[in-house]
Amino acid sequence: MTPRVGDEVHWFAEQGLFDGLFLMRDEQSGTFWDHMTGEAVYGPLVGQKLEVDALVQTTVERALQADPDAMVTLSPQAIRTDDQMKVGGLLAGIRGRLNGFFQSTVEREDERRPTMDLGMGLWTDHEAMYYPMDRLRDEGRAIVDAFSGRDVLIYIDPRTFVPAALIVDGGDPEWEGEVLRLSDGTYVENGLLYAANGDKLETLRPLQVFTRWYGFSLTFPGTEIWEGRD
Amino acid sequence: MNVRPATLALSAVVLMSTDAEAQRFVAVPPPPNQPMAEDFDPERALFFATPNFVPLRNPEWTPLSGALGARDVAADTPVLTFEAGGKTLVLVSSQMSYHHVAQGEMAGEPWMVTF
Repeated sequence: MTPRVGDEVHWFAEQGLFDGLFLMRDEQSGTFWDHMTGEAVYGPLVGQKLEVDALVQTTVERALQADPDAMVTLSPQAIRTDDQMKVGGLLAGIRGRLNGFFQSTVEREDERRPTMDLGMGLWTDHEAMYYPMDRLRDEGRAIVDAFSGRDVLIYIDPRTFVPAALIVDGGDPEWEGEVLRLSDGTYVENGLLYAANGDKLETLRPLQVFTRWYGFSLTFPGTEIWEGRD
Repeated sequence: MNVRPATLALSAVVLMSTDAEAQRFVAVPPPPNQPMAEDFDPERALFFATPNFVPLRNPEWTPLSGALGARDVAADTPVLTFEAGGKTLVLVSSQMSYHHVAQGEMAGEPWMVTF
């Protein structure tokens, strides 16, 4: 996300809750912002929107495979442990509910999926699609779906178990060990897209978030749910 | 865009989150007479007097490979990665579960990550 409003950089912090998700507030204007879409929701800058980019959720190993020169910052602060942040830890809470503190900010949940269900959410300014983890697993951990006029590969990484989404030209994904091969000869390995001859291709990612159902469905009311192949 | 009427009856209260046992969430009335997005409801939102979590601002960066070698992180540590200023930057997911917001500048390019 780019923290720039017009030509000015604003400074943000968590300072509110709505629909079970935190709101950011910027110090310069006192406006409250949706932290997923970057939209100003309450305050003088309503009508403004921050530029949002895709964030990659992965592991240290995968990050170094993608870029050995990657840089990290380390903080002494954490609420959850690394194990709780792994997919296994997140799945452990899938049958849970929002606690009362968060629930008080929710008017009505979308009950098409369980509150704490996990999935991959994609969105644009005009549409949103939620891909449940269990459906992706049922489909062999990889699908190519048409989203917003582009073919998008959604797959569960065999090492991190985190779903990811890439814009591709090929279809019919098939796993060959930890390599995901597409019908046009391109393939995905270690989270990166390669041409058939092994050249690394530019990896284009739609806006995406690995999320619980309540957060995505409340942020994008009426989102479509991917139900399976036609 | 809607404008919220100036009806302020909410007193500040102290709330506790099970996710942050030592955290004090001091809710205050919403600022009055503010423009709002179409689907936003300030009566249902919680506004806090101050940030409950310290955002990570202008952090120092170190090579990820070195942090792995020093066992500051493990190979399977969940992280968030993004590009800024021509660099791949990495934040540790468990640490972002506290900060929620990280922000800074890399090679003149402002960046922000929310989690």
